[in-house]
Amino acid sequence: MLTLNRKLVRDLWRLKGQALAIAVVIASGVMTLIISVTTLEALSGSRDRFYASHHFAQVFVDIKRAPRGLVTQLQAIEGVNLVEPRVRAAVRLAVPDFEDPIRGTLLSIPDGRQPTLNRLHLVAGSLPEAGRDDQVVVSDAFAEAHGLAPGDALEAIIDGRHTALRLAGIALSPEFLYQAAPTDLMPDYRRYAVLWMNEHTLASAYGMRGAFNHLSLTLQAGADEKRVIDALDLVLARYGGTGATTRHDQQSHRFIEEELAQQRIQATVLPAIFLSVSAFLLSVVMGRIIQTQREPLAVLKAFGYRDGELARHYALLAGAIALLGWALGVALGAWAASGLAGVYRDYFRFPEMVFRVPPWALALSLLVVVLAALTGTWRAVWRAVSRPPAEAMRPPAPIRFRRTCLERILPGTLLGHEARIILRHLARHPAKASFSMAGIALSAGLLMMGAYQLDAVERMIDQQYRQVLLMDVELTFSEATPARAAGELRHQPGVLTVETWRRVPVTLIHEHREYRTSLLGMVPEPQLRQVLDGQRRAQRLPESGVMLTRHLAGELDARIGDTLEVAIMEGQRRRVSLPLVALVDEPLGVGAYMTREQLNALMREGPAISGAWLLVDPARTDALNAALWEMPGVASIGLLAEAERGIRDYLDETILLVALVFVAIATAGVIAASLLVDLLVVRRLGRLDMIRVLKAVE
Amino acid sequence: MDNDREVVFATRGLTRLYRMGEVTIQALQGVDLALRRGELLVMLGASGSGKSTLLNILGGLDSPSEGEVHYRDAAGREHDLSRASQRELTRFRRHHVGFVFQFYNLISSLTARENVAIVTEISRNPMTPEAALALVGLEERLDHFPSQLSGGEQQRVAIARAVAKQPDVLLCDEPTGALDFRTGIRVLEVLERVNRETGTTLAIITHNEVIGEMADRVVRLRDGRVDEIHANAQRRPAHELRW
Repeated sequence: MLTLNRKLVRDLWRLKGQALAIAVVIASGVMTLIISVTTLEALSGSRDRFYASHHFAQVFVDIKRAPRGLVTQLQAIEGVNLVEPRVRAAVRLAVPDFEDPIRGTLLSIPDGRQPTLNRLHLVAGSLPEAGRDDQVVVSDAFAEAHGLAPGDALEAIIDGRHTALRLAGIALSPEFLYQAAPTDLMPDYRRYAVLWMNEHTLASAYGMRGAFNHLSLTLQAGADEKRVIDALDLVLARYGGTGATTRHDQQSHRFIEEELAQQRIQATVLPAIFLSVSAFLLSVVMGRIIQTQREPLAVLKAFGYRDGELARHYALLAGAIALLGWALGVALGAWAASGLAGVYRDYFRFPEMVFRVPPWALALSLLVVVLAALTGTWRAVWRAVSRPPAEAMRPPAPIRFRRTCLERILPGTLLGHEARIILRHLARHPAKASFSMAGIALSAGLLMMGAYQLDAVERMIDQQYRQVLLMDVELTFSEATPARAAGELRHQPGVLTVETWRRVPVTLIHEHREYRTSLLGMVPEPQLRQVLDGQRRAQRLPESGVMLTRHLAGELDARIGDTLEVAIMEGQRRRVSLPLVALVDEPLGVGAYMTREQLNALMREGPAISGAWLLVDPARTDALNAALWEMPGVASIGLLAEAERGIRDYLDETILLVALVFVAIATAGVIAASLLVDLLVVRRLGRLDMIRVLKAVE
Repeated sequence: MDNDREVVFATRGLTRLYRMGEVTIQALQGVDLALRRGELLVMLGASGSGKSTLLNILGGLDSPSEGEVHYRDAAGREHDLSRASQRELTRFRRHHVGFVFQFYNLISSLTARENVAIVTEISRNPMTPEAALALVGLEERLDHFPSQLSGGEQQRVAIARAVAKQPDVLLCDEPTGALDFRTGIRVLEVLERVNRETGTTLAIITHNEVIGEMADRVVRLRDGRVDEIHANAQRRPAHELRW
């Protein structure tokens, strides 16, 4: 069999162009599979290890204020395992030589030691020493963005007071793998920080001595999550609990989950498309290759080679092409995955993230490729080898063609010879022709989808920041504040327009569906924060009732005119019924809107606001920032231009990779299409040659 | 020719129908023939007389539509080729028959040596490819690819390939059909030598009457039937043939 193998190698070399083309298509399928599973495994593996080793909590709840003594009672709830009460507060920070306002979340840890849950992974330095009021640990992304090191100084406004802080350590936390400010879409490491400090210090600063305002806990194995949450809510309601949530609603966890879900789809859909196209291409091209091997095949049979030996020979030919494609796909996939690793390391802060192509993925992709190759090839091979050798040595009998329906309908002069030949070929193998067309359509569709996705994201961002969010600055107050604070804001340097808003966390319930979000109360005709209808026209807020984004209404399966139950999760917790009166077309978000007056009435409060939007004179931004820094009630200052830049930076970083993947897909698509076109052309030319011959004979 | 020689092939009422597209062709219509061990038989006939079809059936490349073909191997075992399965026919071709085709049918991606080796590798008692190529006078052209060989050389490689496994029977389909006179004679000399020196039964089909003179017997075919069988009193050496 040595010589037969030598023939195989030389045949492969002779067919290198076609072999490489098919290999590229196979490689695309393998590449998408390798990228997806590698990323999937790296993300989920790193996450699960970090969660387990650092005791990431399973249930979270914000409370207005609860006494520490309550912990024993909470601990006793059936199904609760470990409980970690904390003080959590919004904070504003200043870093030397950085002008923009910085928002932060400050969390307490037991004095001088690690918490039981959500333990910190120290990257540098140490935890704050017990008894030290000025020491903090900061999130590593923030420290990295500002080049901070242990021992560096920070300035913070903690509950309205300027406080000098010193960095004791830099840490990662399972709670903040994805580290974006609570209202932001994308992380902005320079303008948002997470800090941890001794509980004694933080509780004193916020008047929380002997109390807590945030609770995280883990569940016992087999515990009923829903029952635990109900029991917690029942106990914590009188302490201003906003309703316990699971990891599902935890910002960082949710973001990673969504990323994983997307990767899971990618790991199945794209490779499936590519590998089935490859199998089809292999069958078409191998059929053609084997047709050209009709004579050597017949000779080998004449000399006594068995059908099985010859089938194996040609299966090896297909297998070698498939193997080449697989190896190419693995190499490209591993290269692209390592590129992705860089992007993911920036956005998900794991202590370690090992991008390793899992052996099972190699085995699976190899199996799928070999199966695709064999499925695609066996018919052509078997048809060729099972033909009696004497028949194989004779010229093939003329193929049986028929006049097509189109020829019968159209007058004879309308269709030329070429058109007739093509039509008859297509009509002879309708399934093959349909599949070819479907394959080309699919390739084109994938190309369109790639281009469409990029454009769609671009358009969504444009719409969000050019038509919906028209403010320059978003201020959030530490707590609901009397609306007259707006007057003070109007007098700050550079402020052109002020519009106030009230935000209240709620759970919207419609029939059996519910969704946790917040109700945003605005002036009836908001100028800085538009609410758009389907035609992108600004809408006036209704006097009564609630407006939902079309997406949120879909989630709740609610239509205009339906009554929604609204569970208010702040202040006096109660349930009210509100009619859904209008839908909002917004590209991003799951918002619920009403007038601020109506929301204040629902809350049984006076004209209170949670924050304000400002339109400012760009020339006076620095003076405004300085003035806002001095305002004690302001918990955070968000700059819209920076938020938009953050999203665009993220897209710019990922776009190269996405572009590369789509270039690979496009290449594969073009190859697929060109191979098919080539087949049609070759056949057509073959027929045309025949016509020329006939004409010459005439 | 010695009529007492053992019969290698015996056919009775051999018929073969082909469907070519929508046309049915009757290639053989009841052929009765015997081929004896060690003889050199030439089958003559015009195009379409059925000689290639007969050769294909004798060589196990094809099966008859009707009639019988029996083959007796060197060990005296009888094989009914007309009822043999594809697997049995493959085994028969592998161990008993060698073919030489009009257009050589060499594998273009293999050298002369490899074209022979591809057959010897699956044979029971083969010569070395080098010895087989030396037998046809190509010991200097072992590593040449078909594209580097002349037509005559290619046909000699094809003969070396056919004889290398030391078959009982060598079946040649128009072996000189694609060659000029001088090269054709050279090829016939090789075939004659193989028949003489190895005792291989040799059947040559041709439409060239002259070649019949080198045979023990000449069988004429016409319209799928045996028209005449003629025994030469004396075989004429190949190098004396002229056309």
